[in-house]
Amino acid sequence: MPNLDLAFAALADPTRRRIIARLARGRTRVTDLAQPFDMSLNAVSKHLKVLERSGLIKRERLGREHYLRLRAAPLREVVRWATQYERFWNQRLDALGEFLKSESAGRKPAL
Amino acid sequence: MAKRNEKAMGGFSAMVSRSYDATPEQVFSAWVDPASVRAWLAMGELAIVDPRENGLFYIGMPVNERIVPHYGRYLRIEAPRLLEFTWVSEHTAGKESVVLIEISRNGKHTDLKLTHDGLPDEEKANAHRGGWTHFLEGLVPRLHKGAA
Repeated sequence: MPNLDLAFAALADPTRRRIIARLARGRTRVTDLAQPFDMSLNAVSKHLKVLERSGLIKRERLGREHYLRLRAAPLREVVRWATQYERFWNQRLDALGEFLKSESAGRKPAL
Repeated sequence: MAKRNEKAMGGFSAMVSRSYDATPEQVFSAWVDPASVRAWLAMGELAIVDPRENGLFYIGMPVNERIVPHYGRYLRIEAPRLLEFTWVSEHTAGKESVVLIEISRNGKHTDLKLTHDGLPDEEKANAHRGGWTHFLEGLVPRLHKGAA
């Protein structure tokens, strides 16, 4: 899961999380994106590069304008790990319940 | 060590809990007794455990008709209420994730809370502290509906 590491690192920064939140509302021009953030276009560009490298956002050119769009796949990957393990542990903890029941019934589990 | 684990906890984790009709001692023992671990956690496959601080374990976990090796190291063993160990497999990309088991008596029952934190390194743990867990949790359902 190479994207997962990059996605986690990219999301570690609050400005980049705000950018992601903004892009979640829809495709946005780079110049419009920089506006609400109290920083230079140059500083915003650096954050955008990190996000692009992580695969979280995608840059598109329409005529002379650059637009940014959110890519959902890496974010899904981030939550997939946790949901997979939730399912796994739910199954195992049910098995533990069965095991405890069989023990208290005085039956030794088959080994 | 303790500091690092503390940091890793409470972040982006899998959390599961159960209530068992057993004593805390019985529940705890099921996690550290080799025969018990083999019976319910390893599903009858090979399990080698050395339950003491910094002791190691191996569990051959059957997943989709294939044995997936799991390795780990016990970090904290405080019978019968707390057990913490690292958890390494191909599903953690070979990195140490941390599993915390908290056991408490609840009347005639015993509650078990399992927290599996998958973010072992400092940078990621700090990212947790930034509170982006809630951000992600709120965002992802929207992504499923919206963006490709």
